[in-house]
Amino acid sequence: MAELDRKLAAFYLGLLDDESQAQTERAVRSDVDLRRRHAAWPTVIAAITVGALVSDDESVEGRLEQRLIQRARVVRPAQTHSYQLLYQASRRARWFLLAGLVALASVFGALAFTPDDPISGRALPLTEDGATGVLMPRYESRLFALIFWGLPEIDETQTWQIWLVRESGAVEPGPTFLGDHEGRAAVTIDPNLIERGDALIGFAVSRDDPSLRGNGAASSEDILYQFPRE
Amino acid sequence: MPRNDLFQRIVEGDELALRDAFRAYGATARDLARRIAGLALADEVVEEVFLLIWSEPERWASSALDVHVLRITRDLSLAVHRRGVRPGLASLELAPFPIEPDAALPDVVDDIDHEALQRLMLRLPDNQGRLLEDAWFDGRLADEQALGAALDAMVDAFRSERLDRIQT
Repeated sequence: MAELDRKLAAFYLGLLDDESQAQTERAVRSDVDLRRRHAAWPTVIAAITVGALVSDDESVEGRLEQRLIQRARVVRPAQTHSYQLLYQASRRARWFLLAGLVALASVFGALAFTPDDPISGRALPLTEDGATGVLMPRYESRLFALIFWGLPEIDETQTWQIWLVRESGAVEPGPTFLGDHEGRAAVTIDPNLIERGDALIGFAVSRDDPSLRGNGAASSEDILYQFPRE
Repeated sequence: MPRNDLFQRIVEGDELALRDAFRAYGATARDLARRIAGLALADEVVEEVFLLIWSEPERWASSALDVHVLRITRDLSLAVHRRGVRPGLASLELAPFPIEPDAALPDVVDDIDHEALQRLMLRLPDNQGRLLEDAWFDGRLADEQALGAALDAMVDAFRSERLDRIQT
């Protein structure tokens, strides 16, 4: 018992070697009173951080948050319902989102995630039945690509236009691209567009006709909606 | 937002809860990682910490989310520092601390006046504050019994009337 008492603080502070740590853990787990006596230790140990460090900077950069969220989507896709995201989005982003949904519903029918997408695992599923896009990130080399398949045919005068939806509600035009004869396309995205303070929360794609384009607006309502999926 | 709600939302896969947790605890975790792992790797450490929690929330955390974030940050930072590897690699061999913290205690990041806590640590007798800092930040084990006494002194201070003064 004396030996256990002696080791206890070192155990809670994670200072013991693996074998001693495992032995002490077994002893602690089997002794309810002991755990109760020291129930506050994990909290006061964490409090050492704020008691010992002085920081003037109480926020983290949006760039880091954006990177975390993108990696989190790859590790474990969010289960959040889209209406919650819609509620959180700014008014402009909400309008944009609704417009996209309406257009999609009219073009592609009911929204549905395709579970057997050919790039699953590393991919962020973006769009819907018949037309699918994924964001492929390689964070180490700061390479980002959007890959699409199942794109419908467009007129010869038209291109596809990517739109970037920011957390602030701003919607910026991204690159334009063309699909191949089977409706596939790969588009690289400038990492500086991704890693920015005003975090990127979604993409949208519209059918664009340069001859009709004006004031940066989409020249078509045929928007392939993309946002964090349900 | 109460920590319990935040953790439950993370369990349910709510991406906004992950973002809220990052905004609540990310800066403190980054300060801790900078102190142990160094400036160059601190951001990566913090990213891995939140990814671990997001990937398996019930394995890595509980409703006392602040305690878990700081614990994992410290353990991962020490592993990175000692082994000289990237945080992503070090995280593969990391294990969660097995004893669950008491969720009834205040959130050390959000509910405690940090300056008051600093004063409290300076007031600990017999250089106990320094002893705890060496153990926590550097993983240095000097005197096991003195460490226990230091932790008990911290708990007493936490639970005494001084706690009321520092709780917001």
